[in-house]
Amino acid sequence: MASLLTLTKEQPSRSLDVGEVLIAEGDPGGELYVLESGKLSVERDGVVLATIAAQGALVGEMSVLLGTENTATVRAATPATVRVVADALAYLERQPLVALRVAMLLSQRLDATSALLVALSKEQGIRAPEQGLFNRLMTSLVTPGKD
Amino acid sequence: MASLVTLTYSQPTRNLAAGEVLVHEGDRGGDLYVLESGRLVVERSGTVIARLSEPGALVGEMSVLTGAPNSATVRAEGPAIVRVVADAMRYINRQPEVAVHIATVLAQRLDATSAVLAEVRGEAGASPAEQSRLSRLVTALFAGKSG
Repeated sequence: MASLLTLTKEQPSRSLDVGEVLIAEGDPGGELYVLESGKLSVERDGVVLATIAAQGALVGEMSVLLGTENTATVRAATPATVRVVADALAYLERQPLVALRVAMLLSQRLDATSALLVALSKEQGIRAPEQGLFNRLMTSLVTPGKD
Repeated sequence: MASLVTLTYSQPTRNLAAGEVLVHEGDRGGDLYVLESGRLVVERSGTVIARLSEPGALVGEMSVLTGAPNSATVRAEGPAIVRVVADAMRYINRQPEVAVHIATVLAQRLDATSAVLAEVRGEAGASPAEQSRLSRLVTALFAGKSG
């Protein structure tokens, strides 16, 4: 299947300087970004949660799909270029291949998390409260809001 | 947005008797199921991790999207009816609304999981080993990597 960068090749690009904020926590979302080059850091409450360096990685998809404000701040960790998809929900509804690609990326994240949870819960020295947490996380991974 | 039950109304249904297995952990996936009525139990390695009772709940989407075998066993807790989407990848490719809907459901699950993680990380009293496991889960959740 074609990559997101290929699928969105007609969308405009935006260049970011080191430290420049692409999206800010709390801002209204609605746009989708696809990383062309460089590295981005994801922060929540000032703590870096992850670094995004893979070409074709998605940013902003959660707020687009959930219709919520941005839940994290994403800034350029190096000079970076992103593809910009404005009014992304309408775009996804017209472009099944892109929507499918987005769903595949989300499912990979869910799958990686649940695989890690299964591995962690088999480790030695896991206390009961933590095991309880793992069970809660497993439930939220499979079905939201049924905690 | 129309519900998945509405969007897949032209697909055949399947009736399940109480206790009947819909998908087996480890089996090849590829079909998608949408719950019409009744209640399903999700088990992983013999442990019940969730119950699905909401009409429109999805089963099988992870293996459809990742191409991996089913990661859980799903069985009917009582009599249940599911809508069956065979060869689901092809179907989703032709139905952008369904693709967006599935992506939205996945985003809700990621969001619910990250909310649980954020809540726990804010609590005092986690040991360094526990903090390290939580950090790895956060990385998996945001970047799809379990490293």
